[in-house]
Amino acid sequence: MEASITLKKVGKLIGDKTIVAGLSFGIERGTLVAIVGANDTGKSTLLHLLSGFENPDYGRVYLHGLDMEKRRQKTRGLIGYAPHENDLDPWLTLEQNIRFSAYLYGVSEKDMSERIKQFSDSLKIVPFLDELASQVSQGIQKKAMLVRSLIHDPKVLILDEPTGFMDAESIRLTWELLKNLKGEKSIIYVSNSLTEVEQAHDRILVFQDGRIIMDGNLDKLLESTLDYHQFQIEFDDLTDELYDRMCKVSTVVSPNRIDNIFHFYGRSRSVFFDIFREAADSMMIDLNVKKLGLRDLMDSEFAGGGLD
Amino acid sequence: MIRALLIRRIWLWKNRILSGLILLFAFPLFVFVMINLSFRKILIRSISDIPFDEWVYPGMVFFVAAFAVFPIIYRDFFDLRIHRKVLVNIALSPYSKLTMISSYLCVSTLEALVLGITAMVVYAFIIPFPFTIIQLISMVFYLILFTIILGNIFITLSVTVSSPTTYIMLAFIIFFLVIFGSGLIIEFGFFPMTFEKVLVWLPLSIPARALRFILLTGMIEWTLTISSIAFCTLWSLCNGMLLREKLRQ
Repeated sequence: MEASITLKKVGKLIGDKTIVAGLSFGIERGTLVAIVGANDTGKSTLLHLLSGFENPDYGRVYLHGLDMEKRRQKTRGLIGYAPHENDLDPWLTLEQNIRFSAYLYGVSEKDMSERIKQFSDSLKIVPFLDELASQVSQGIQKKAMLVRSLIHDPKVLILDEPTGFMDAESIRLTWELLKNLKGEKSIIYVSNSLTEVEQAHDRILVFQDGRIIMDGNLDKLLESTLDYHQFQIEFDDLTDELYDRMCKVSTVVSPNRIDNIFHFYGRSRSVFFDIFREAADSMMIDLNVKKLGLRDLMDSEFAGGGLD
Repeated sequence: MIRALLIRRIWLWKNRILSGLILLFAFPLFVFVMINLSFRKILIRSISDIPFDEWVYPGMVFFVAAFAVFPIIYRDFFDLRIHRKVLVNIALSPYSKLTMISSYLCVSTLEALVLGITAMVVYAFIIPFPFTIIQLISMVFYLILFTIILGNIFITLSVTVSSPTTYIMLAFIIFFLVIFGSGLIIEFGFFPMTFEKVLVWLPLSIPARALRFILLTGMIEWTLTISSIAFCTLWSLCNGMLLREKLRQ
């Protein structure tokens, strides 16, 4: 598959602090790539570098084979970018904001009107198009920003928290639209909603301290922890003695307690029966078992070294 | 890019049409009351023996244009850069920073000209128009140069300063300079010699002096005219580089 974006040893510093450290990776055309990580790890800065919002301090970013710094004006038209914060002109209506962007990119009146209709219909913002940007909710603003980023038909779409501030219905509509665009456009996005990332990605980049520490699809990322289950058993009375005994069960991993709730990990569901044998005399009130997901992976304990 | 910015300015006017129209006509009247009516009893004739109405007329038109440029530049380069990041988004469009600066200057100058011409129309009802057509054309030409230089000053200020307090203080200083130190109302001869020598060579004073020269003698002062054009060009280039540096793009 052809590369849409290629980064070669790209770095960004703010003062003495390294925000992005010598990143090298490629993104295939037409893929949906999610970037996740804790706050202040450099995710948004990476999007800034990919979108041309900022130049890297060192290294090169290539977009469809073109050096973004040297072929700046040529590459600009290939990118659609919607930041996390609202950057609409507050004294223009939503439609005027979108049209202004279209004029900047030299989009014809016909294409402009067609695209506004198409994307506004998809995201159900048509009734709000004549409202001033400052007078609609943040969720609507966010959807208008998405339409604006698509108005010049970019090849690469870069989105910072694409569903930020949105209600459940808007989130569904947004993902429907983005999934329809996948294949035709490369979509790179940052999100803190791990449930959304789990459902919408071809590839996930886990970012920490300006570096990519994991790269792949969810199954690949969870490979080492895939077999693990998370258990939570609530007892009527969890004594220290019972807690100690359960902690000593060899198949129990990372045990801990909160009041009468015993929390641990195990490779299979059968670990529960090991615990059940130890605690057969005690009254169990509630039981919860789930397979590990991206959220667990992101937990610093696992990101640091995994369960093994 | 000019087309996009121009259409946006029209939309902005349209979205606040009533307040816009009131200001369009009220502002030149306010300038007339504050400048013409108050100063006419102090400066009956200029040092060069020009009647007050004739002396102050270009100054009033220049003020209206100057005050029209400020909100446009402030809005796009300071307010919407600091508070909304709109400028950064515009900067992502496929244009060089110099094109951006030139386009903004072009659109703001055009709007300032519209306001300046409206001011002339308003004044036509109050005081007799003291100039010939040639003098009027030269006034428009130097008004363009004056507006571009002032626009560049405001762009430099808006891009370099991030604190609103500092920005407002510096903007006030510039306005004082426009009103009292550019030779539009108070002749340089009224200042002590040392100040006069500095003030006459300030960028804003140069097009104003060039205009006075053509209005008084009917001849073009080439040094001042070329200096004004050079200031406009070089300053726009510098602002392009400054913007590029500031946006880290």
